[in-house]
Amino acid sequence: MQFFLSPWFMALSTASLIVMGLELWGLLRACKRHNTSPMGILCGKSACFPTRAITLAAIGYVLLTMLYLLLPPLLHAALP
Amino acid sequence: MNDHTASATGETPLLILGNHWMQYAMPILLMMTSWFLYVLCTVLSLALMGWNHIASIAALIAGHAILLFFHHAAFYQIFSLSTSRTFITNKRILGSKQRLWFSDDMMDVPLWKIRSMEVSKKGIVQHIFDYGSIIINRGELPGIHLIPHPNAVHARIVSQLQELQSNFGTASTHTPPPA
Repeated sequence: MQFFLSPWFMALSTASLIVMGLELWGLLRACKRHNTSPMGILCGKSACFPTRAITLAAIGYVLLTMLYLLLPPLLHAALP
Repeated sequence: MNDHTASATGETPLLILGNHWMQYAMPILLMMTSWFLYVLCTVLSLALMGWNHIASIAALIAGHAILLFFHHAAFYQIFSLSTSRTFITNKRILGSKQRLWFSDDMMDVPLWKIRSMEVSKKGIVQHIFDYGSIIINRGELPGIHLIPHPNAVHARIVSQLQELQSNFGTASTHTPPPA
């Protein structure tokens, strides 16, 4: 808990979460833009965004980001 | 590369081209390097914990900062690449190239405007993994860059162009003369 509340860790974690949020929001916007463009309309539902690969990459991104945010405090708490 | 069926507008989708997987190699390498450095910093932090607490925390923060820059940069690159694609129909070539929050470029090249096409593969890596670019009208029109199997795509577009020309010839012979 002490580690979680340290200013350095708080600042870096908040920055990481903001960057992650911005990237995911940008990805969502890009997918929506593609689906409403002539390309997206011609592709139809068969090839609309987000594809399965993009969804998996986004899930992996969230999981890895959460992992590196939670790992240091957990290690700090677990180790003597 | 996917084949698709006809649409209701008379424009038939022929090919959907994504980026070649080799383009993802660089961001994945960047991500792996940043994680390696992070683990190294964490191990260093654990080793320093008994000696100097401030140095231990500094190592952990350094690892965290490395990931903040490079882990997010790698995923930014991956997302930008994966939302860019090229689409070839029986009438035109459509392409979109996006960089999240920074640029959103779309190209639309009607097939009738194409006079020449060149397939360009540069370097040993592009030859080994069979990817490259198609340059249209000697670079006057936007090309299709770093796609898998450019020779096969070129052949497909050429056959479509020949079909367009033969259709145009048939239509012009059947056109009634003006009164």
